[in-house]
Amino acid sequence: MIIREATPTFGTSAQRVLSGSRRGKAEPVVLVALALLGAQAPASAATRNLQPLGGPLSWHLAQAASASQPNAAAPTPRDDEKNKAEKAGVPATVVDGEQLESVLGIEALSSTGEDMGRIVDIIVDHDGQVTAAIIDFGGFLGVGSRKIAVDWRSLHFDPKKAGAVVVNLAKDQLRVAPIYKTGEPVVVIGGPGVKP
Amino acid sequence: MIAPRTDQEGSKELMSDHPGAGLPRGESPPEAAEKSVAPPRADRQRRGSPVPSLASRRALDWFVFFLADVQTGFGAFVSVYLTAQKWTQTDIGLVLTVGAFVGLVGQIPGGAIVDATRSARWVAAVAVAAVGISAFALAVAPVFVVVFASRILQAGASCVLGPAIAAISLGLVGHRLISARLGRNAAFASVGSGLAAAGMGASAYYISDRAAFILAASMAVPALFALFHIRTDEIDPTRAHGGVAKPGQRNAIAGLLSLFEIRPLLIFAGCVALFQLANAAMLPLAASMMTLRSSKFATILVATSIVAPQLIVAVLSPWVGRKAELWGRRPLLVLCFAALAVRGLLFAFLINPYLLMAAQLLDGVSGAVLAVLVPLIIADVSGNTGHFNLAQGAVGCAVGVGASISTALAGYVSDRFDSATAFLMMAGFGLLGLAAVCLAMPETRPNEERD
Repeated sequence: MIIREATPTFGTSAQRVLSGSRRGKAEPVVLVALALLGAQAPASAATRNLQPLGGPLSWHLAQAASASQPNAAAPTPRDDEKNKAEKAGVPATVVDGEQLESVLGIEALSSTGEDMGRIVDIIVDHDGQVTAAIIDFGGFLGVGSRKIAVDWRSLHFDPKKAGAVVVNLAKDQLRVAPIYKTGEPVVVIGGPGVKP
Repeated sequence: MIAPRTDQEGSKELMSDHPGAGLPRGESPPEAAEKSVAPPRADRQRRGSPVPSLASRRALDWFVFFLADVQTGFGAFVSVYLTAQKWTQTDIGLVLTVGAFVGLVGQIPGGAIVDATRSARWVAAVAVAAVGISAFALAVAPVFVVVFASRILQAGASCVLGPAIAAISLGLVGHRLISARLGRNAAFASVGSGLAAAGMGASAYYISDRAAFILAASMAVPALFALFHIRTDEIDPTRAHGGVAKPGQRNAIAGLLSLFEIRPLLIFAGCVALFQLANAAMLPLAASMMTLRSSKFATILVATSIVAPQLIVAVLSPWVGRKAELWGRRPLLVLCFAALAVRGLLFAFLINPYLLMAAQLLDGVSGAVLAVLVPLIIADVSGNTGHFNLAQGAVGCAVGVGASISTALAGYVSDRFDSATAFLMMAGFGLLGLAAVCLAMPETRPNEERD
């Protein structure tokens, strides 16, 4: 009986769907694409260093998901090997897959290696700048976890630790944070100057 | 001592208690003598209290145990697993909603299916295989289509398995001893799910998330093994369905409508729905509070508050099974709702996460009582209708509706106001249920001295 109670019922899972659709029309693909671009955002401690393969490339893409979104298509300054003389193609960059990673669902660790949960969502502002990551913190077997918004600048992607992101905050700082709820003012924990 | 006898006309004469009444073992000499001269099985009259073999009883114990192992972890753990597989929250919510919806809507058809088939064992076997396959599919291919189908399959199978277990139990031991049998079932099931929760948590931590689902899937094999060790000839299908349906009420729709006329069943369904209205959201909300308020040991506290009540259920439910025969059902129902209301109040006012965990132990008390009493009272009131399993499905549906409203409502209230208000609201529902039990719910224990 008790384990069954922990089963998400119609109510909780409906809440999840509703909160998801309230976020807007962002598809998962675009979310991840934005995350990839956001990873190169002006984070002072960012360690990513993209090296696109080969020379200028021109690809005829039937449907460029990124091209359909004005935010995502803006080339970042680092991609200066982009194809300039585009006539009938869509600008594209080919990047070595080893150097990129998806952020959805990866583990978040504290600087001392403690488990802080997983990233479940990315929050961007209207300029397309990534503001925060939503981390599903705590709990056991999915019961009792809380969604906390953590400032993107407090996250560090270490190339040596693929599949995990280091959060520059202590567990205690995260656990007392208010839960992230869509439709309400978001409390973003952390920031460039915050120390654990 | 008069041997117990039940007949189709609806009046039951049961013998007065003798010391062994509450226990499934043993048989009094008059009963044994009766059995040897009992009329042939073709005669629909049931005589004597059946005494299934030790092998069948043990097999049922282990079947219930392994089944609980398989079913555990299909709850909130699925969302953790899918998150790690890079699913968005929207997709996870969609898949879980569909699963919960099927689990709700499929209750009544599930009960009808078990009523319609002669062999509850085969239905259970197919359902167990389905759950095992769905766990395996989740582990192997967590793509949207596969997970979607797997959730629907597992939800549908669990709608069938609940009534099937009670039907097999009733078919095996008959109504007089069903109370103790259900107590035993509940004990084995809760030990199973407690161990499975611990096992899945450990394998998810040390090995991988997929390993946890493979572990759950592999528990289906011993479950099927145990199921087929229950001797078919010892399960009386007529008993398992709660009698024979009256002509004109044979099909499921007519049967369902006829169930609505049984007032105690309606009252009981309302009470249990009120219980779940109060109860379903308490654990997740309390666990969230524990995560908020405890720094080092939050995970352990939450884990304990899931597993410890299961152990309490394991210890208490045989006791509940015996007392339900001795005291009657109502005192235990009062105990159940009182524990619920007290738990809600404690959650509203306690701050210390360790005390929160202690309050959560009361969930074990309520859980033990309901695990035994729900099938028992349904068996009591649907006695000769032949729609025992359909009635279970109907009550299960009401319970599911209560649970769904509970989580949505509690989420809304705790967002809008705060969690203490949400807990107070749930305690209020618990008190409402307590009032309903005290004022409206009749005693359903079959009366020894009748007419």
